[in-house]
Amino acid sequence: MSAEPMIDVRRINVTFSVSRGFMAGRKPLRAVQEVDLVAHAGETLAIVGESGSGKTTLANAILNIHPPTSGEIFLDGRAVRSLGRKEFARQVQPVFQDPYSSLNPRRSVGATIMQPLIVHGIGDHVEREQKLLRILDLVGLPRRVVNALPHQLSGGQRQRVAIARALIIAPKLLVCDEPTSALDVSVQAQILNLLQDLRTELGLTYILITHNLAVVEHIASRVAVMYLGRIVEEASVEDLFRAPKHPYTIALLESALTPDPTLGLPDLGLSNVFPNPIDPPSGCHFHPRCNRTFAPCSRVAPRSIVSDGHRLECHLYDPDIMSAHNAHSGDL
Amino acid sequence: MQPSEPIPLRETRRRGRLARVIVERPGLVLGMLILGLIVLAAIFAPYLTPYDPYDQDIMSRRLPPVWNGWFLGDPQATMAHPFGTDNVGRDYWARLVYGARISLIVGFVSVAISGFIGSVVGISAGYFGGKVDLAANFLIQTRLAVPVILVALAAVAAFGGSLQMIILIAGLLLWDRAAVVTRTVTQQIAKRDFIKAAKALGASDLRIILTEILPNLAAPLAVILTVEMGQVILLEASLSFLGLGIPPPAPSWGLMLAEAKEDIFFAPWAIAIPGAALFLLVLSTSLVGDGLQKSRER
Ligand code: SF4
Repeated sequence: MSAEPMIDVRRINVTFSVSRGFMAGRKPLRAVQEVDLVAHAGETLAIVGESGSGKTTLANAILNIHPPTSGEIFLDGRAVRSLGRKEFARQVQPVFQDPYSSLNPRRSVGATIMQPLIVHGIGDHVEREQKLLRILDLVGLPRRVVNALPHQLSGGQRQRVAIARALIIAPKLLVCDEPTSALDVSVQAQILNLLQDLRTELGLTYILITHNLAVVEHIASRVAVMYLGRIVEEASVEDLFRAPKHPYTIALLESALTPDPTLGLPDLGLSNVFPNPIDPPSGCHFHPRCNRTFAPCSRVAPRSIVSDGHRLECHLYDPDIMSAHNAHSGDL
Repeated sequence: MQPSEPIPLRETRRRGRLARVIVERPGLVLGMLILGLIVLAAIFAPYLTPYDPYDQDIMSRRLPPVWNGWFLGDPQATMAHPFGTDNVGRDYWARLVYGARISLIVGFVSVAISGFIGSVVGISAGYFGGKVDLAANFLIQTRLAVPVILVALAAVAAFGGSLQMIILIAGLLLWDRAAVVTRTVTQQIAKRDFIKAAKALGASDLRIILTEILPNLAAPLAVILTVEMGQVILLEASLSFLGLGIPPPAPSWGLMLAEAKEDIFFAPWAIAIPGAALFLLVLSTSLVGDGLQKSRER
């Protein structure tokens, strides 16, 4: 692994100001809180969480579509803030969840894929067409689709078009937001395999946003678990799946997987509903649903604890809190 | 990595398509037909009549149209003036086809102006949102509070009626619907991921508006602008009828109606003919607008 990470997210926050209705004033919604993340070249970093966990907001922040309110992101050692929009775009490209929404319905496949070259003024007409044909082969689309409109293609083909559009300017980092969950189950594996192949072939780095743990196990190398805007646990895929530590992660892994993306995460068997992100619970945000919650949880927010590249935020693994707690309960 | 899914490229058979449109959208086809004929008549007016619409002929005033001769045996009816003549002996058919030019120019040009203003207001409101949206909404509300006819009367009183004046009044006042519709549609489009993709590409707002949003607005804009065109044509006719629009002796249909109204009991056709022309033109625009709307919904 090289010394300089491909992308280095340092303590970013994204805060929205939300109106709470007529005359009620506005409240801050901290969609992403103090998030630290690192992805090295060639890695696939997965970010998992329920809907409402802030994972898409995090993706938008990393994509610079909605830059973080505070904190800094470094791309290949350079601060993203100091890069021009286009300079940044050349290196980081998105793949979205729904290929029905991510392609302009009025633009042909060929024009869609070549659009980045036009925006960035790369090549002349002939070179653009050559690149187009090469990328079509690369993503496994037949050449005759170039004049087709998106509605004439199947979901899997559209997603291939979206991937081709992202790749044609040769970015280094791809941010994939649920790249398969809008697709038929039969097509999901094909797109995942394609993403895998492209990564090794082109030496890409992926940030993969998903709620689907099967996808994570399939292609990710590291996983960060998000809950209410915070990364509650982060570890290598093997570590996390073999020995999850955070009660939330454990619940996630124990629950059976539902293939239907609209259901979000399966019923975790956890008490309580998903809390309102505008009014997050005190202390550990997870405590109303946690099955191991104890005295300090509702009062103190857990620290980040790192050991052996396994990072988590839970009092159960904080030796100071635990000894204090044990000493206290021993007094009783 | 081979293409593994089937390729369901939709087959579009060219033949039989026209027939299908006629069967499925008779209103649209009929409207386009009428509108097309009127446009052609306006363009080729000099070839459709040997008369000048301004030439008076005192010897043949208030001649009835030729069908009065056929059906009522009116001896004055003559093939020389198929639609008859008006109270100063001008050929009615000539005035009608030249008059179509006025209606259509007023219609097209003011709709182009109002469509432009409305799109600029509506797209910026829908795309940028927030404060821009508030400002645009204020503009739209202000515009809706302005009574069009009153402003038109005041403007004509102050500056005098003319073709340019009417076009300007209609163009500068009737953009509200275009603004409201483009705003709503832009809001819907702006939420979609291809706008996000364009932003992530580093494309400028102007490029996104012109290349991503505008092509998706073409259809809804065409719908309201055709309907709006009918309204503008009626507005011109009404103002001219009131003597506040195009000044005589121009062959505006509204003016023809006004000039014929004194003779309504002696020469009813003189009212009926321009009235029917106006009706057909406005009907055709709403048929087209309606038909386009329905095709969009499918
Ligand atoms: S800190 Fe407490 S509430 Fe939060 S996850 Fe750990 S045990 Fe559960």
